[in-house]
Amino acid sequence: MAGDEDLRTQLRALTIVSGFESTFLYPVPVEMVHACSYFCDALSSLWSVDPIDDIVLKSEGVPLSPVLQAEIDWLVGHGLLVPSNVAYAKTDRQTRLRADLALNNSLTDRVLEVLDEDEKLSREMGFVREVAAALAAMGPGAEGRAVSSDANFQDPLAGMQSVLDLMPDEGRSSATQSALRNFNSLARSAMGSDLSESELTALYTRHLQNLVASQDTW
Amino acid sequence: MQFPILRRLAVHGFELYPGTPEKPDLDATFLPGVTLIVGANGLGKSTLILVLYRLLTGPSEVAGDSGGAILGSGQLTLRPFRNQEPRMFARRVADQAVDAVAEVEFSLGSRRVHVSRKLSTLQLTSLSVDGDELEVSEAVFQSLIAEEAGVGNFVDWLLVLRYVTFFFEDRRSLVWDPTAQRRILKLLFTPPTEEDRIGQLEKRILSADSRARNTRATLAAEERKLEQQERDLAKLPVQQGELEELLATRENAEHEVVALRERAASLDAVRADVRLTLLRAREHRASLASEVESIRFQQIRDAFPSTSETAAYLLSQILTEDKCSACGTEVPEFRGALEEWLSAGDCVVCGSHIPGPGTGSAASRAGLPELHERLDVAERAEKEATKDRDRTEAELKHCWGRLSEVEETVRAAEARIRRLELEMPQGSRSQARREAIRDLRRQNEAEIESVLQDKNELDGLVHAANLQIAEYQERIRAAFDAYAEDFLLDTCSLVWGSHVEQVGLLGKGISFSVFQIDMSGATTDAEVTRRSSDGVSESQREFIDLAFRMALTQVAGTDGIGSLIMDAPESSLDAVFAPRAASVLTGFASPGSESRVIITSNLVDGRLIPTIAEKAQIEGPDDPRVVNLFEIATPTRALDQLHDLYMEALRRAFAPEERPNGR
Repeated sequence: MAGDEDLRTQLRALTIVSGFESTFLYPVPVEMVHACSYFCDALSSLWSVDPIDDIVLKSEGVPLSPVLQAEIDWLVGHGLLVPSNVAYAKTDRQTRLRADLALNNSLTDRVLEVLDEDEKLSREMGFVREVAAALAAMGPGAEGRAVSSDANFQDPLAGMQSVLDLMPDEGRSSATQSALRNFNSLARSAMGSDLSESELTALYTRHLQNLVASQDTW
Repeated sequence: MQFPILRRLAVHGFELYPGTPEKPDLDATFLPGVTLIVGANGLGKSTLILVLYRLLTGPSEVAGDSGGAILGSGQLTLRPFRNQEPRMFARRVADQAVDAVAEVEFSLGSRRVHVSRKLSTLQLTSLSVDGDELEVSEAVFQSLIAEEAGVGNFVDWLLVLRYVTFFFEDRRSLVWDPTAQRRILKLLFTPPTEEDRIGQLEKRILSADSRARNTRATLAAEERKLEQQERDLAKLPVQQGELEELLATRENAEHEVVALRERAASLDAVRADVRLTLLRAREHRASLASEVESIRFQQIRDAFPSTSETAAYLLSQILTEDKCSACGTEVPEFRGALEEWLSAGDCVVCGSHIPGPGTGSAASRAGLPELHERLDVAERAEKEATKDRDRTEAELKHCWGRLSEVEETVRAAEARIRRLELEMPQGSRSQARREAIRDLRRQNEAEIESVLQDKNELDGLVHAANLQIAEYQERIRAAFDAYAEDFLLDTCSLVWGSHVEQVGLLGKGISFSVFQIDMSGATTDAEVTRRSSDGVSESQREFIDLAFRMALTQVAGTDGIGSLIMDAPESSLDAVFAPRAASVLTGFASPGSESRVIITSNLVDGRLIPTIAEKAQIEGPDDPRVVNLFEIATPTRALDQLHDLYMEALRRAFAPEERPNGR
């Protein structure tokens, strides 16, 4: 029986896949699920939710969350997620699973309905859906560039193979948190009021989309 | 910056280097590439390197410089030599070097500089640039060098020579010393004016921090005197007892705050390490598990192509991790059964026998048993790392929690003390003292505020400097990798990260960006960050530092050129690594490069000299690239008595048949 944290992680995985499927991205590459989970964690302080992974190893490509992957495996085992095109990609540094995931709607539809009945979970998964929709808009294959465009990965003071702290102690901020604060300050000066969590999420992900698109242009 | 390109060294009238009848004294030209200074013990190899160094630095040193520790604090200053220090070479010879003069020619960019000094006192005797004679004064020399080298001041020049260019036998560390690194990286990669400003701010902070703490101590002393005065009153009001208690509580709490802050800072540093170790361990375990899974998955698909991907995936996970993803149960026995079915080619769903060759031989060919062992090791490492992380986080949280409570105790005690003071009887002798204490307290608060503001400014400047240096970190890492891979068998790379230093005791630490070393070790194939050289062998430690210095010279030097002088590399090398070390040293000054590498070497058994000779195309001991102290230096008694043996050893060291490829 899953504990609370496991349940949150499983629901996040299902919500992400559901979010992507609602934008007609089907089945969903597992890298996109991990990338979306990373962004949910990077933006989690904005929504006052706890991250799944509060620290990440800065490396090439999308960071793999072993915690998320374990719950994805659980969901596959219980038939809620269906894998296809399973393969393993090997680089100099590591071997990683490559697979596409799809919801088994006969089981997941009811889960996602019940989710809406819990206010706190519903709010958190709403945030996850927004992030998934924004990432889907960049197109499959862009998740790696989206992650590397994130402020945490762009921070020149954090070298490869160093720790990115997504939820630093009080008095410190991650680079993404600082970027969000800057966006809010700009908006406050322009409009005289703070942006909502949804607006800031949309603004930040739009900023990432522009960065990714500009790399395409080059 | 312009690193010095050494071109010529000459020493005249020095008894240690009389030379030969045909060629008196010592006159060495440094051609592009490698120059070898060879000699036995006592012939003056290290002394010659020191002469070269002193020609470039004169009779000055960085104030208090005994290693990296001084480099962290505030502005560094120049200290002229005192007492007998300038006579370091005079004491080496019977005639006190009374007539000895040494001269060096070197380039800084396109400018040719010529310097000569008396060896008895290191006094400057001539100074010229591109043939034009300049005023013979240390002030002119120092100013000229700083300007032409492109550094902020002469102290920076000394630091560059000591930490980058010259690698003396004391092997002063750079890559292993974050405090030294932050100073050197800043002066190599940021404008001199900013470095100056940072130094000034640090000095001001340290001074103000000390003042604030002294005021605090004075305040505490005044408060104790007040206590005493109050006790002397004939009839103590009830508040007095409370006041004494509050003063004691506040003092104890303040001591505890200092201790807790130090503990928190120390735990924070440990936390950074354990987090990195945990993430590495996780990545490594996940990668190994994926590798095993991939082999298992393929085995199942090969044997049973009709098996669904879901089923194959779940079965491969059982075979990898002994765990069923469908129900979460640990199933090592079922895994064993699956292994047997798979090896025998039996059905992996129901175990029915299917005639055929099975996949057993394929499994062992894939190296699975070894992979499983590595996976077990990696899983244990991940568990340990998780425990370490959880324990450290818990300790840190507890520490902060306690710090918060104690700070609140201090605040509450202060507030109550102030109220009590106001309630004290007017006109008592203690009233004047109370007012003095209030003034001191206000002064102290202002001092602390000033320190914190300066620290914020310093933080901003350091952050900006870190960003400037960050622009070079990829190039430095790439250059380091190229040099290190020739020497080390372990995987070794530079990691760009941060190092927090306390500047003064008040407020938070300042984060400086520095490089650390990642190395794989003997007992693990995952990379581990080494924040100190503990656990690294002597030769590895030195050559990692050497590779780092080479990388910095290549990236920071104009046109990527510079000089590197290494004293006695053979002292820390074993016979197997000596040729590798020779490759690294000669690689820095490869053919076509204007860079110079000057190496001193004793005649030791091994391949160091032969490998250097081959790679640098040195014909023999009479080659212009060899400074042969067996000929030039005053012979020692050992050389006199065993001359033939030494000459044979010298001949052998350069003989073609001793070289790796016989060339």
